[in-house]
Formats: sequence, C-alpha cells, structure tokens
Amino acid sequence: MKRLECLNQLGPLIKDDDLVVTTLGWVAGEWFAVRHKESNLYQVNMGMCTPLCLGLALVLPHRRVVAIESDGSVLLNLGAMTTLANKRPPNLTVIVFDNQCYMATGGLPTATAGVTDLAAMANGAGIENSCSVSSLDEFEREARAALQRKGPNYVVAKVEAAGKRMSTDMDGKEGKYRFVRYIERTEGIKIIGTAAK
Amino acid sequence: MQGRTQRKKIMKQAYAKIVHEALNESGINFVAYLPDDQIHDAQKLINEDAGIITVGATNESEAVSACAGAWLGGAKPALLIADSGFLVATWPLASLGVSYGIPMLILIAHRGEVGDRANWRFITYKFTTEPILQALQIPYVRASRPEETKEVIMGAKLSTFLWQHPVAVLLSGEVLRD
Repeated sequence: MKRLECLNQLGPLIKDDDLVVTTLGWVAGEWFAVRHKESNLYQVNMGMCTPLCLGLALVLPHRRVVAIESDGSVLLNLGAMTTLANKRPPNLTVIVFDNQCYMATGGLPTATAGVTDLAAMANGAGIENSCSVSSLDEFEREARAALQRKGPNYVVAKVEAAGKRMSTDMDGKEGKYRFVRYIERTEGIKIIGTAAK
Repeated sequence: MQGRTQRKKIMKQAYAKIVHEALNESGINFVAYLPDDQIHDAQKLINEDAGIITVGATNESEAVSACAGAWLGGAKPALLIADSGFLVATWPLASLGVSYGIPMLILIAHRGEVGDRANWRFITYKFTTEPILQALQIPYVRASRPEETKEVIMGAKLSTFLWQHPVAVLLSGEVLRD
C-alpha cells in the first residue's frame, strides 16, 4: 500500500469545512497534489503536528480536524499521545502514515521498522479508537469510520517506503495567512489585527 | 523558618492571583503548561478557570505546538513554563513561532539571577534564558515586582498578537524565590 493511494482514498472523505494539517516531509506535497484547499495547513515540523491539531481541535470543537502524521514525527514527541488521550477531543482524527523510515532524509529506519507498534502505543496511551491498517480497503474503511464517530481517533497506515518529493510551493508564512484568513471568514472572527484595541 | 515558609506561601498565592487576573484581563483564553514549583499556584488557578482552555503537556515543546494550533483557530494563547521548559520549547518556538510568525505570550518563571538563593543548578538559566530569547529574536520584558506584573503581562500580550511573533515575560524577583 502506498501513501499516495491512501491519500487519494482520504480526499473524498474530507468535507469542505474540515481542517487538515500535515507534518513535514513528502506527505505535505502529496496532500497538496491530491486535495489542495485553504483549509489545509502544510509542513508542520517533526513532533509538532498532533499537538498543534490538539490546540486547533480544542478551540474549534465544532470543526473536524485531521492530522496527517508520519512515524518519524510521532516518535519524536510520543508524550503527545498521552495528552491527546486525556484531553479527548471528539473532533480530532490522527492518521499516521508509517513507512518505517525517515524517507525524506535518506531512508534510515525508524523504530517502527523494528519492534515498535504505534497503534498499540496509542491504545496504551488511552486512545481507544486506535488501529493499524495495511491494505487500501482497510484504510478506507477505518478512515471513514474514524471521521464519522467521536474521537479522538488514531489510524496507523502501514505504507511502503515510496513516494516522491513534491512541493506545496508555499512557505510557512503564506500557509499561515491563507489558513488564518480562511478561519476568519468561515468562523466570522478576527484573528489577525493590525491595530491595538 | 516555619514563619518564612508560611509567608512565602502566602506571597506566592497572592502573586498567582495577580498572574491569573492579568491573563484574564488580557483576554488570554488558552494556556499550555507543564507543572513547575515556582508557578504552581498560578497554574492551578488557571486550570480551575472554566473560561480558559488548558493543556497540561508532557513537555514544553508540545505546549508550544498546542498554543500555535490554538492561535490558528482564533484563540489567544499563553505558555506558562519555567526556564528549563523554555530550553525544551526552543525548537517549536523557532519553527512555528518565528518561522511562521505565530504569536503566543510566553510567561517564564525565571530563576538564576545574581543574588537569588537558587542553588548551583540554576546558574545554567542565567546563561541560557536571556541569550536564547535574544538568539531567537523573541522580545522579552521582565516583571520583578508583583505590583508591576499585571501591566507588564498586558503589554506583552498586546505586542505578541499585533506583531504575530512570540513575546516573553520573565517573571522574576523575590516572590518566586524559595
């Protein structure tokens, strides 16, 4: 199973007002190619994607938030699993594309290439809705189920170490402005103010 | 000694109330923290405040990321951490705070001033906290006395959100010392 195939399955499951945040790596460019929307935020650095999505989900409890994570990113900040489990945001789904290696930086193995099982760890952290999938059918079924039920949900997709480097053609600041202006418009709020009140 | 310990406890509780009120008056409605003994009382008050969403993180880098997400969603976030936690928080502060330009109010319970009764461990923070804030280009101000704390916090809050850049307050002085 390839990550890009999974993303193609995920695309139609995402509603227009869902917020999707990707971690750093080739997955950002792939998601940009599959379903670019203003409601996406791309390239959040290693270990920061899930906790950023937790903040977003807690502040906007009426919006579905999807974190597109990687094994390397999750492993960098494992404690975030326990915080997610205890805060229990019902509107947050984490999808971890686990290719068992640090592919974007040369392909050296992660812990999941060894004996480590991220779905079991998420379950142990207290996220009951956690599972691991390794076929495209399973992925589609579990992603759909996760998006339809109360979270937090944690889907670990075991994928091949395959893909290619694709650009979002956007830096962090542009991504931020687009995303924040979208939130302002859809939520009817002001986030970026240029004058003191 | 018991008398001094008791006086300190009362001082810290009064100070915690000042910090909590300053955050409320600033419109801060999201706080991420890792428990720290110097500011435990403030963290407890904030945690009990139904008007503030709190995230008790497992490390301060996670807390920074949660604050970033909260701001992107429209909240006004603050970090409430110690010097040691600031060291842990540096990478996401650089990556999200500085590179993206994501604001958050950073309150650091700062030890290791000359004349502080802090032990050998705290000299580290004399060498790290301010130079790293400077290296990250995170503006900071100091609140050394309880009576100035509210005004300093409110000023830092104003600047962080106007500048879309993290701004720190070093909570320091006698009240935070053991």
